[in-house]
Amino acid sequence: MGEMSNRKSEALVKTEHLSVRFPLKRESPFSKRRYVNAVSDVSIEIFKGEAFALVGESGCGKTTLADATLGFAAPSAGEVFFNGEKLDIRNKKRLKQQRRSMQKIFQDPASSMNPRFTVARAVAEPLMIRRELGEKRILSKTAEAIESVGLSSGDLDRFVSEFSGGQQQRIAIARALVSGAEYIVCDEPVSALDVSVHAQILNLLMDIQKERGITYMFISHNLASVRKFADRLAIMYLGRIVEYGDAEKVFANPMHPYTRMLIDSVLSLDGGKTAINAPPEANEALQEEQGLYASNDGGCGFRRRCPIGRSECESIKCSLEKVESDHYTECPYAANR
Amino acid sequence: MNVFSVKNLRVAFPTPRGIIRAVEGIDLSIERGECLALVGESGCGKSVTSLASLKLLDPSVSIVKADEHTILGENMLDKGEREMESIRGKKASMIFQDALSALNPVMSVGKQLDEVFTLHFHLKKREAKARSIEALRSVGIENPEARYRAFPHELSGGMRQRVLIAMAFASNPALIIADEPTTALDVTVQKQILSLLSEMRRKNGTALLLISHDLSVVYSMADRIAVMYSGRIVEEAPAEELIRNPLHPYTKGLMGAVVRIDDKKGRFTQIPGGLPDPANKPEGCYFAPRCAEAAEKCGKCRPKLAYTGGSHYVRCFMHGGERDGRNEQ
Repeated sequence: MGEMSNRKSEALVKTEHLSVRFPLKRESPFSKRRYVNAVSDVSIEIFKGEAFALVGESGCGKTTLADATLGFAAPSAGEVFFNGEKLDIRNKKRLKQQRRSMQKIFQDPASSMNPRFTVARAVAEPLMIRRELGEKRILSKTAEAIESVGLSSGDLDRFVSEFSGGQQQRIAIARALVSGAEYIVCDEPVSALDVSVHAQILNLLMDIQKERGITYMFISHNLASVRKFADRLAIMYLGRIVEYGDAEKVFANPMHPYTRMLIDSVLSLDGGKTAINAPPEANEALQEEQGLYASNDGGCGFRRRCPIGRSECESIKCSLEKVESDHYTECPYAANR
Repeated sequence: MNVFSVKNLRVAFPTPRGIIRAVEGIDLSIERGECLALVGESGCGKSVTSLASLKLLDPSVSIVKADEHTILGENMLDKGEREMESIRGKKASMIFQDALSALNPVMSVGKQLDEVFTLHFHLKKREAKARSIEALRSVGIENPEARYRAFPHELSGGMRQRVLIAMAFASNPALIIADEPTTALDVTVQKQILSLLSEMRRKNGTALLLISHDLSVVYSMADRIAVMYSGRIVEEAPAEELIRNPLHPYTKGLMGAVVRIDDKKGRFTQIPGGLPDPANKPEGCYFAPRCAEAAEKCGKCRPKLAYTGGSHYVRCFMHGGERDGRNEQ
């Protein structure tokens, strides 16, 4: 899909036929090594200043894909580009420089920060590691960052563990902002928090984006939040992108059966008890067992859970096909279901 | 008859910073086969309420008091730890949020299930095993004979939650308390687990106390919903009534926080601020500092839970609430 050139803005992050695999433990020293394809053949573009969402269930490879764009996971095939330049994981020196414009916010703020650090130390750490600024500059930048996330500079001397989950996530956001990153990966930033705090954190992230023009990779499994948050998105299943493109277009016209399944899983305040009375998915156990290996055996990875699956799906070679401009799906049968 | 009832439940934790009043006078009652949901933010006291309901709080760090506390008509107030052990897991059992830490990591799930039958029903090992395998099958686990030997880490999150549900229903208790049973799960798995839970409940006629921070989860399960804020119930009504006609501003805020799938890109509706410091609660209505509708009176004294008709109760001066003398210091 090389025809995104009608977009004016340029891609900040780009992957080309990216695959990442991890070796499995061998059953015996003589058996052939087996691999898990955490990410297979993924080509995406994330444009400057947009919020790009990566959606899928746990174990589908979203975190590995995000890590590959940060140079944390080595590709087994394909390439990653950041700002037009190739991310070479072996060139440690260059990678270190490139990483200065990248940051990551984790799901659980309590375990991603040292509870015995003061807020000041937790936030200032990226600046201290760089050793470019003097103490005074670091202090003023830290105070500025902590105020931009809605806390006060009086909180700087308190310990990270003294704060509530939502406040700790704010501190984690301040830490990502302090070094002036252009690209921030938010890995399920609200999943560990209360529903009532979700809105506060997501609004804060949106405000920051508006102010500073940051590019987000937003990882989530909740499509309702994604629709409000994201400009573009990719739906991921077993390491492959099954639907991709402009968020509003995908929601207005979801093509892949997996996308529809995710949309149907969102609970609302309309359905009441009928919402969960639908028969549970027949092949849940299968889903969990096949998880790791399915992407090796040819055919569509989703076929065993698919409500519109047919015999051709066993051997089909999936690739993203265009539905409309900036909307692609892997399922060839989605249109005439 | 009520399966479970508690009147004026109070829980406090003495700490060096002062006494933390986690629960301040809660009345709950659940009838046979009914599902009551307790909704609120983390720190509002809902988990403490659930633990206190089965007397699971450590008496060396907590003070628990109640005017009445019964399970199946039996008085719990004077029961000791030994007697409680024979009630928990048999007459009333619990499903925890994090299945990985609720299960013993070095024991196969089958052996853990066996315990329900050997301890409470004094079955022989072999009979217990047969019952355990049956229990695993009843929660939709395929190939239960093989899963019987699996260790918790070998199962996925959804599967582990199924094992916990099997364990909770194994003794066919009259009451199950489920504390955030789906919070740690994916959305697709969440729906499967909720439908399993409601199906098991229907089949066995079990009463359920469901605890969650997510109104959309609660609404898919509950007959009645109680909204909790900072240790007190602020609104209680039948599920339909509460969602159609929410009165308390906090309930409205929680409803606004549920994101709908047909919402377009834009800002999220948020409730400003956070829960009050539990060691230093506000003088008036606890929600007043965050409340958009608060009047002068709200900052001065605390409202009582008032009846508004149609078994709908609300604790708010704007909706017929009167001053509550009971819990004011």
